[in-house]
Amino acid sequence: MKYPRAITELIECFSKYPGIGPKTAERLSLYTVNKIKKEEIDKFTKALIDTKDTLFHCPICGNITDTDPCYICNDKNRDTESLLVVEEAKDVIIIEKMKKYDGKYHVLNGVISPINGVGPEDINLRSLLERLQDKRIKELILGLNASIEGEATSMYIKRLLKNSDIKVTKLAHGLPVGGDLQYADEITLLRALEGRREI
Amino acid sequence: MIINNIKVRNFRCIHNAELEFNKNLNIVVGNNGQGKTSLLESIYLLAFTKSHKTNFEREVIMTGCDFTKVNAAVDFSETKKDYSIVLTKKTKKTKINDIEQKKLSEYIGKINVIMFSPEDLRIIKGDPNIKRKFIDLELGQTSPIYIFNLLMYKKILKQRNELLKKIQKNEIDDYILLDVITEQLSQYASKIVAEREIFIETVNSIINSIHRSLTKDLEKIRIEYKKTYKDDLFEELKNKYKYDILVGSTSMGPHRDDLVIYLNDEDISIYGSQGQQRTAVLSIKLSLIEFVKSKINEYPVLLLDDVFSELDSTRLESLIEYIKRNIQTFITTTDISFINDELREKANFYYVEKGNIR
Repeated sequence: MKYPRAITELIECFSKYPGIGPKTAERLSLYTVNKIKKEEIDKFTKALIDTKDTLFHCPICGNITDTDPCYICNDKNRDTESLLVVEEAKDVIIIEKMKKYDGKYHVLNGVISPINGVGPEDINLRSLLERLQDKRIKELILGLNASIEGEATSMYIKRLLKNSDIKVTKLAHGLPVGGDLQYADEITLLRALEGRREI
Repeated sequence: MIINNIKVRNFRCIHNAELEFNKNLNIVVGNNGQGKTSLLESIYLLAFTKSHKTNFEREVIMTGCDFTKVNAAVDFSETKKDYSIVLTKKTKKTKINDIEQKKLSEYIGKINVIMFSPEDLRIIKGDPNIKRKFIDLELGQTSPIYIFNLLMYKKILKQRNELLKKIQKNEIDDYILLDVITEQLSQYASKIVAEREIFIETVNSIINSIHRSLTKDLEKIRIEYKKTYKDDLFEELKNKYKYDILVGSTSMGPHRDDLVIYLNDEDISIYGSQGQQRTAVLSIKLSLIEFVKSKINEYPVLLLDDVFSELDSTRLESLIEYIKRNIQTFITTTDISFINDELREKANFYYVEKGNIR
């Protein structure tokens, strides 16, 4: 017993997503066949196609955008003195939600990881260095993940800027706000202790 | 800490066992191959989520079964907790008080166990890899931060070795990146080595009085941590880039360091007799009891697998003297004639036959 071709192809498509195994792919496919209306499918298909037809990486900052340059790079009201470096587009969204940072961003779209075949050339570093020629930029804030790859990438960037006047800073690690000390794990506590500051 | 009771399912030849334990001495009796060691191994698994006998934990699952489960109620001086571990062929799930522990580093080290088994002679005779595993395990059980640093170090090491291979094959030509990853590696290395050195120092400060009492003052023992580099790993690795690239791996660092044990100032792995080596292992293990006690202010549980066949009677006497303190102890043996009346009165006996325990 085999599924008709349209279903097996759909299963294959769903399986390409991270976190989706063959069983989930099968369930999603059957759900699509049985439950989702034609109009919904048309909308879905168009949305999928639009991701490829209308979206691209902003040539300045690397963020995903449908305008050139992206709305953040284009925003004249933003502070031009600081640049926040993040790993991917969704990090920009999180920081923007906070509404407290009004500088600009640089999205690397990856981190250095020889094991995954990602070297410095493969992430959006070159355009960062070009941007830093702009004398208005005074501070580069590194907002990469606390993974070893994120850490190595931060160290690499710092090293490239060894002889420049730009101040390089890194987001602090520490205790969750409003959290009780006793709920923090030992590693978080240690990082918080190492990163303590005078009040 | 005291393990009050245990439930073991599908563990090697133990199909189903539910046991209440004595807070002092528990003696597990049976012929060879009946499952005595498996009971100790199940306690070890509950504590470390690993087996002391095999690197492939799934081997402990009873043939033909899908899973093995061990759970126990443990009393600490100020609290009690339930621990459980379920192993399937592919997964490992640990719980404390029925709450799943997603990170192993937050589970391991909560139940502290010191095991003395015939396999432990490898600490002395085995290759450096086994000695490092020994340090990592014993040190890790009182220091989650050590486990974390070790985990990070291993990840960076993999990245660095991959980078070295890529440079070797001319796929990458970026020495700044090599510098950066070498520096990152060295940062974690120094934390690991510092903690290992303190650990060995502490053990050294405890071990001699124990070893003297075991050997009637005849022998002096000392453990030495042998680094593969002098002081500054970063600078020293930088001077060996050429070599590391050629071989495609990292030639120095805590992943290559070694442990040497000296008896009266001579390397015991070369000059020590079998009996001396066994006694040295026992001294190390007993020192670890004190080490754990000094770290967490609570005695660990002591598992002694088949010690009666391993040690002569004088050494055994000293050992028994030692475990008379408030240390919960499990002993496996084929022969109970070694055990004197005084101990018998304090002990619970468990008889093991073909995986059944009563």
